[in-house]
Amino acid sequence: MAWIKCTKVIGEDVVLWTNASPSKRFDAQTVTVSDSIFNYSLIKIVGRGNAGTGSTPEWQTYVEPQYLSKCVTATDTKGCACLLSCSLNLSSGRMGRLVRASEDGISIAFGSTTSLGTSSSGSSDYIIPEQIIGIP
Amino acid sequence: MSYIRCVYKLSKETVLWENPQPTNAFATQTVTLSDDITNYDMLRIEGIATTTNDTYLEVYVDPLYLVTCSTSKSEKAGGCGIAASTGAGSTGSRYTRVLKSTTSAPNKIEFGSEFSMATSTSKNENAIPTRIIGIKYAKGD
Repeated sequence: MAWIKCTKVIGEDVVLWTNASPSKRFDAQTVTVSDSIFNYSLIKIVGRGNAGTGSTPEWQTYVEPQYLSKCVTATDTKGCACLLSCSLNLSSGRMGRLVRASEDGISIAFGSTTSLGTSSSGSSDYIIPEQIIGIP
Repeated sequence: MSYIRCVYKLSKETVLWENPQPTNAFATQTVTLSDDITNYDMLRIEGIATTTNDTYLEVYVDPLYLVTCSTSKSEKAGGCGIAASTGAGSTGSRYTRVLKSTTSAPNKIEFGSEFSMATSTSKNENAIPTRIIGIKYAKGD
């Protein structure tokens, strides 16, 4: 009797997109990832609190690919929302930036930043995404 | 006769907390879990958009990262939150509620107040957490 033991390969995390200029302001935009996010079980998005240097906080967010495709970046869309957020300091308060994926999982749209708890719009200098990572 | 035995990396999910009244307003509060979050590889925070809109919300968070989160804007730290978009046009709004844990109380999670991302108003009726799920990854060999 022969046993062949096979193990589902738990691969390494894959960097699907990297911000080429993480120290610069990040306006609302759509980026293209190198592989559909639907080929992964979980997506991790990491970034920095603001584009400047210094003691900026880092943030990370995990989201399911299917959920990310149902997220919204605009108030004129009804549905769930996926939030990248950061608490900066007393003067600038807490900022958020919404993100969503296209139906094919190749395009990732980042919205503009919003100040949470006030009516003011945020600056593109905050909540800078640095990498989108696929977790098998 | 040959056998093929496959070992997969399965995950086990445990409900650590459940909101007994998810259609009620949810004020800032700390909830006690049935286990320490440090016993899990990942947490899934589930919720609904409002007390009258059951649009599903979720966010995954690393338990080790959750202790770095902040529910106060006076703290300089990364933030974690669940967020919802509740409607279209001028009647629609986006809301978020931030949460955190502490190393001294790994069986508790603090939910901050809910914030509107479009107005200065804040109501407890939005971004209602419903369950906290602990996820353990089984180790394939």
